[in-house]
Amino acid sequence: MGIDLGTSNACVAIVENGQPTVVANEWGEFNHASVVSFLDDGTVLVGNDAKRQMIINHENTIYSVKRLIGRFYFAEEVKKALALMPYHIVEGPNNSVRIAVRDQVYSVPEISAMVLKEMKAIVEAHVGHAVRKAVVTVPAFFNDNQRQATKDAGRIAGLEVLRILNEPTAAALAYGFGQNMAQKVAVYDLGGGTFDVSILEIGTDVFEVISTAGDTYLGGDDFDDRIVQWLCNQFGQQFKVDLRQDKYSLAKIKEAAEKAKNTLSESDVAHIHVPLVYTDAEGFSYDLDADLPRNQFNQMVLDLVQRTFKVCDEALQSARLTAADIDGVILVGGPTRLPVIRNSVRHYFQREPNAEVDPDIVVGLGASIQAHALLSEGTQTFLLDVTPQTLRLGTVGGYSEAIIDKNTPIPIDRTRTFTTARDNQEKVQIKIFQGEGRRTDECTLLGQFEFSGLRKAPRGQVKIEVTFEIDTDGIVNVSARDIDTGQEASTTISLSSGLSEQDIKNAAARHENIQVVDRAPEAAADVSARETAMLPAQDDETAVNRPPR
Amino acid sequence: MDYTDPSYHPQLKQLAATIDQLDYYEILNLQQDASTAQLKESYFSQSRALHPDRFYHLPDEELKTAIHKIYKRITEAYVILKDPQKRAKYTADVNGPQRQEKLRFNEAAEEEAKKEQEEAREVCKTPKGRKLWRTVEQDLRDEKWDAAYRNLQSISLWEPGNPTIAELKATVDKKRKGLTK
Repeated sequence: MGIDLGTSNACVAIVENGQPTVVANEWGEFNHASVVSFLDDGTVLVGNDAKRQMIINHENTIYSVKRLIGRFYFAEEVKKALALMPYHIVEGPNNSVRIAVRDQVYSVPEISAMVLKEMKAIVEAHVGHAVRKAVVTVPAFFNDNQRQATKDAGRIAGLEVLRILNEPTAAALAYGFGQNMAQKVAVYDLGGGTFDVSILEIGTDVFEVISTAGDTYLGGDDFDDRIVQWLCNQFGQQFKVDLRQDKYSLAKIKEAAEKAKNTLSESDVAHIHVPLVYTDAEGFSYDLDADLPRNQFNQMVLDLVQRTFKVCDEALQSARLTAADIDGVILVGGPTRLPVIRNSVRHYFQREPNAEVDPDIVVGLGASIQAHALLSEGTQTFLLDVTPQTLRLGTVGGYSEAIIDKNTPIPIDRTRTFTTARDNQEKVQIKIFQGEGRRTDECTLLGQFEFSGLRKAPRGQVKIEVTFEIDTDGIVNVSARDIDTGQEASTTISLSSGLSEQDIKNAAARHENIQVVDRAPEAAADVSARETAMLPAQDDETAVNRPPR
Repeated sequence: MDYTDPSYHPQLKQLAATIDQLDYYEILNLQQDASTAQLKESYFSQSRALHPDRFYHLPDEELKTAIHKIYKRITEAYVILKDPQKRAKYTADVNGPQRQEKLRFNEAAEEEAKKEQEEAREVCKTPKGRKLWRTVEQDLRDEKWDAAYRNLQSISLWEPGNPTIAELKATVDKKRKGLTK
């Protein structure tokens, strides 16, 4: 199966009779909110029903965790999330991010694992047997920490992750699947929380990524937030109350903002009405009413839209192409339905974006194609992807030097030689980073490695060859050996945002016991009655019962 | 050729073990004077045959490790050879006396290539000339034409055949005379 694990929505697809197909859950939904809600009675809801808990159960309903995955607690992005999210983000061991819900503390991959588990269950219900092997997609611009954490999430969910695949690449795979084309395409992928652009060359049997660029903290959520801030300001001016102080009000406004944004995809104006948004000390309740014209919304998000085109410039420049060289533009992600995005993309590339691709499911389809290709013999197409950010080695004084440049095809490795600086030195420590700045504080720390057990010798006599590898998942592996003796040094990662092997095992064991459902029992009865009433003839697909979980 | 066929597997494992003895041209099966288009075509055809994804479904882990090793070297060969400056340096290296140590384009080669490039960009080739050139640059910024002319004259003593210096000397001379008039 191929899983698109998005910031806001997840989607799962399989290849059936040679055709990639999105699998719907038993209620016929293709897209499932990447939301996990922990109820009073210990039930864990995942998906669209969990999303409905965002207001009434806002402290225990976790969403947009993809914005936190693989980040250190001290990261800027985490600070932004702390201010915005109604759930409790706490600091865990090794500067990691944890989420506290009721009396439990979860790591970020554990929350993602719950969503993945739900996708697994949807496929299993459809095919009628256990399915373990999956390709999981990530934004192309994700760094090593974020990829590793996503892979960990897969393992916690009991999946065998065949490949971590870049979302724009997956989209291009689905676009070019069985088409026999020769085109240069640009994939403009604006998701719930991340933005990516990839430039690919598609040939008869090859999908070659030429360059990729992105911003892992720019997406539909930020568009919603602009509306939220505007609504709060309006309300504040009118009633002298700051709604941002009240997480319950904020959750309600956020929901209304998202709805308004979606309305503006079709209408020129969105009427926003949030009843009983605020109750004052005397028990008097206020409603929030506002009209948001499309033009005003476009103005509000103009800088965000412009930011996406800076990223496009960067990708084209790295590919040594101009917008005019591009033969096709593929739009991916829900926010690309917004007219302001469509128009700007048309203007930038001077061509109509491809209309046949469904921006909500194309990544899932591509992931399933890749999963199928990896597991079958005689696959004729091949995929050449690149690393999105420069891999760097920390040197003295807060500087770094590049080891593997961005947009280098993968898999690849490079070696560096180090010599001991002291007599009888037993350890060598290195720090590695990803990013484009020469200064390490402009880059993301991936980890600190320690190579120990070096042979005892006067300084300068022991030469250590360190190999930096970027594998087909875009994940960095580091190993070291003594050049003269050929002996491998033992490697320990002394600082990393990730989970240890033991953490993953513990989490996986804990998850065996958590009952994850996508409908609360009473709601389920309700909805299925309604669905049956609405759909006179149900096909076999939706009639299959889920295996017991 | 379908290398996933078991009859090729011993050969592939052998290749992985000995790949350190091949240069990038040999890895990509190319002549040293191959064009950029040929380079890309060869990278594609090697990828078509040897990309690890094609071997993913096979159970033999040893083979997959071997393929991974071979393919990483194919990518490396392509990355270095598609960069004209690196390619020039690399080609000179593997045809030189230190061929055995230069089969992989490592950090030392990169440093050397960078240095050579910088030297090629520099106006003056001799140590004395370079030192005087820095003074000239300052003189030109300060519009001290007489001083600049004197220093350029000194440089041309050290580097008589330097065309840039001769040309600049003529220009500065005009400026100098223009001002005194």
